[in-house]
Amino acid sequence: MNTVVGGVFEVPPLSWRDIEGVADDLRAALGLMSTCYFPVGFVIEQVLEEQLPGYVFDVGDFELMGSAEGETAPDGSFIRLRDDVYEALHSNDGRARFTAAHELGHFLLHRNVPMQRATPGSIQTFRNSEAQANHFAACVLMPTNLILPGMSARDIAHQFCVSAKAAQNRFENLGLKGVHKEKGKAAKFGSFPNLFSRD
Amino acid sequence: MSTARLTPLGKALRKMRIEYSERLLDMAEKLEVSTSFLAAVEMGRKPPPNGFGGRVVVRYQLDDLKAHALLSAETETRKSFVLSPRSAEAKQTVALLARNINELTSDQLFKIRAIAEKKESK
Repeated sequence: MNTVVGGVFEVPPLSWRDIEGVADDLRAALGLMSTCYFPVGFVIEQVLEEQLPGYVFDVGDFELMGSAEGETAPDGSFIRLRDDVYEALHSNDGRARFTAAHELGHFLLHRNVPMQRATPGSIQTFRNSEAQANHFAACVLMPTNLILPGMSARDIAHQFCVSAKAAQNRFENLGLKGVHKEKGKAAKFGSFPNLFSRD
Repeated sequence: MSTARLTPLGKALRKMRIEYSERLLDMAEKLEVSTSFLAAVEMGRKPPPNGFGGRVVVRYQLDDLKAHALLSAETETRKSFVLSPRSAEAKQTVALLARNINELTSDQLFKIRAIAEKKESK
C-alpha cells in the first residue's frame, strides 16, 4: 500500500481523535488499557491471524521489498515486514516497533477505502495516509492516558519501548500542539467502523 | 501488489505454530532457515528445499499421523520434483513418466503408485 513505492495516498479524512479512538479501542479489545508496553509483533503476527481468516502475516527479504520496511495489502489480506525489521521488532527495537505499528495503522484505517496517489504537500494532513498511520502508531504505542504528568520524553521512550525520536514527537505533540488542540473539532468526521470487521 | 495466499505446507506450518505458541522467528530458528525464506516457502514464492518436510518432522518430533499430514502437504505444495535415476531403465522410465504424467488417468496413476508403494514397504 504505502512504503512500497514510498508513496503517499489521499484517503478519506480522519481526525486525530478518531484515530486515537481506533487505537484505544484496539487496546481495550486486547485488555491492554493500563499496560504501557504494546506487543505489536504479537498483534500483527498472532492475534490478527487467529482472529481473521484470510489474513496472513508475511516476512519478505530485500529482494522482494527493496527499500520498503513494511507493506500492507489494501484488501487487508496481509501485513508484510522486511526480515531485518521483523527481527529487530522482536529485539524490541523502537524504530521497528513504530514501523510495525504504522502498518497496523494502515491495516485498521485503510482497508478497502478509496485511495488516490498524491504528493505529500498537495493534500491536507488529515487526508494523508502516512500521517494517519503515523498518528495511529504513536497513539497505540504511547496512549495519552498512560503518559503521566511530569514524564519526560526520555521516560516515555523507556516506558513504552519506543525510539527517542518517536517519544520526542509524541511529547511535543501532546504538550505543545496537535492532538489536544484538535480534539474539539473531531466528531464531524464520523465514527470509525468496527476494528475487526471485514468488508 | 500481489495478494498473499498460503500454500498447503504454509497452512500446516502456521497451524503448528499456533499449537506450539511459536512465532515465525522461533520456527525459522528451529528449522535453521531465515525468516524471509520460511515465509517465502509458506507463501509459495519459493519451493520447499529437498528434505524440508522431513526436517520439520524430526525437529518437532511429529507422530506418524501428523508427519504423514505434513509430508503430504509438502508434496501438494511442490510444483516440480527432482528425480535422480541411476540405471538406464530407471532413466527411461522417469523420462516417460515426465512426458506423460499429466495425461495418465487416475486409474493408471493408482496402479503406478501401488507398484511404488509395494517397493517402499519391502
